[in-house]
Amino acid sequence: MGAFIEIREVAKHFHARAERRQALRATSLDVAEGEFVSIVGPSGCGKTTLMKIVAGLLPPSAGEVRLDGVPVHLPPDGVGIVFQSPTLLKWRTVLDNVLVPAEAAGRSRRQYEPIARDLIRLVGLEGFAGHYPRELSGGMQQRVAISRALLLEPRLLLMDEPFGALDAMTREEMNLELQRIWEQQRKTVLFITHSIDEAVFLSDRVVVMTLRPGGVREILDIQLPRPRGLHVREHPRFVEYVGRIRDLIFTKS
Amino acid sequence: MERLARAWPPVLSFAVVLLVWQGAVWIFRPAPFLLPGLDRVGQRLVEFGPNWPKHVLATVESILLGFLIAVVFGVAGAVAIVYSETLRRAITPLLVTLQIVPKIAFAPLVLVWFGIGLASKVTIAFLIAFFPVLINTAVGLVQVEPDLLDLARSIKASPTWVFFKIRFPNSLPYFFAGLRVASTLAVIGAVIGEFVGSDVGLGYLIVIANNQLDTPLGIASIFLVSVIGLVLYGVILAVERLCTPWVSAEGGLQALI
Repeated sequence: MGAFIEIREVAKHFHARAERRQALRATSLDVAEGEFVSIVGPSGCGKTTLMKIVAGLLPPSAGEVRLDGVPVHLPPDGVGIVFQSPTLLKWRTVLDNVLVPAEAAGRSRRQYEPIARDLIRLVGLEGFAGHYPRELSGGMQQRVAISRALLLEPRLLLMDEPFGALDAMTREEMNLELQRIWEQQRKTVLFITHSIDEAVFLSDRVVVMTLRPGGVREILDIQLPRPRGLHVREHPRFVEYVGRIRDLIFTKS
Repeated sequence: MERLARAWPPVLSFAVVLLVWQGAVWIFRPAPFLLPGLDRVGQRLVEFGPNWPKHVLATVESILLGFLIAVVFGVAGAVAIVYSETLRRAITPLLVTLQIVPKIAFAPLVLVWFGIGLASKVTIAFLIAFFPVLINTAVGLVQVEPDLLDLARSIKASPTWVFFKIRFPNSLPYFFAGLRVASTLAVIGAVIGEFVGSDVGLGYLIVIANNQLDTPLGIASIFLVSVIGLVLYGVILAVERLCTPWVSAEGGLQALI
């Protein structure tokens, strides 16, 4: 019996003008159900490529991803995605945006509307169901995207630098919020980020990817008590983890 | 109060233009066929009274028909080139070439083909107004955030759903921007059509007035053409606001006007 997500020797290269460009070196990783795993690394290390392969949005050039034992070829059921930009439909209210996955899947609005309203409350947007995206701040729009990703009760939540476009303070606030949501829902989360601090704060494990050599450099277990508050960042072990990851990224092996 | 505060600058700019015009007439006293005063133009406008409707309606008819045909073909063409790679490669270079050719140059030829009358005028209005509708709509259909399309794939949305729920609404602000440009171009096209191939309409009147050195009548006709163009533009703007309420009045494309 394998892990919930099994990433086996997955690699990806693109062809650009008769040149083969390696986007992701052969990478292997196991994630257990209910685990919060972050992938941290510099731009171009292939972390977004890896996420797209797990999401079934991009076929790997080599290797295989299994989700709950089933090989991923097309986007599988039970996966919610949050992108760096909120990707909301500007012409729809918050509620109608959250309902998008149910609508596209042809499911009944009546059944999902109460769920959507609960999720809007869960992400702290009570009272905003009837608002349009342009009336919301960047952080609030990303909260809408999170509730949309949770609508069909996915077992896996993929998040691709979801807070990368937010200012530092909103970002810390969103980290706390995401931790709270995760504590309540206990989804498996694969979280892509280039913020070391954010990765350590949120995760059970942090996967460090580097450019040269490309691929996974090391995987760290983050042993800090949960729930983690704002001041966990001053914890000596937190500081130690961040330092260790920074060394891994900025020094060559 | 706020509306009033926003309204005065344009009112003032119009007033200044009219004042400079009338001032020039008072000071330099040019012959009326060179530059008539506002009073003479107004007088001619009233005098010509019962003759206006025939000409105004003819021009409105050419503008609307040319404009509507341009919209139908523009939208159909946009959907075709967005959804068919082959069509895109076949049609796009042709369209771009046609766009570079000054279509007004076709006017005499169109007259040869369709003769004096409505068909020529509508064809010229259509030819000039068509391109911005096509290009704007195509851009609006294509310019969808790539992540949004990834999201659609991840939730297994059907191509029909993606078209009607993502691409179509996404294209609306672009489409309306195209319509606004096309509406002014259709007016130009119809008037040119009436210059070269008509025995009725405001464009025809402008030529006749010029030949008879009846400049007040010419200017009165130009004034009415402008009013028609403004009304059409206003109607489009109103429909646009109704159809795209999510585009903020302050920050959107509409704010440019």
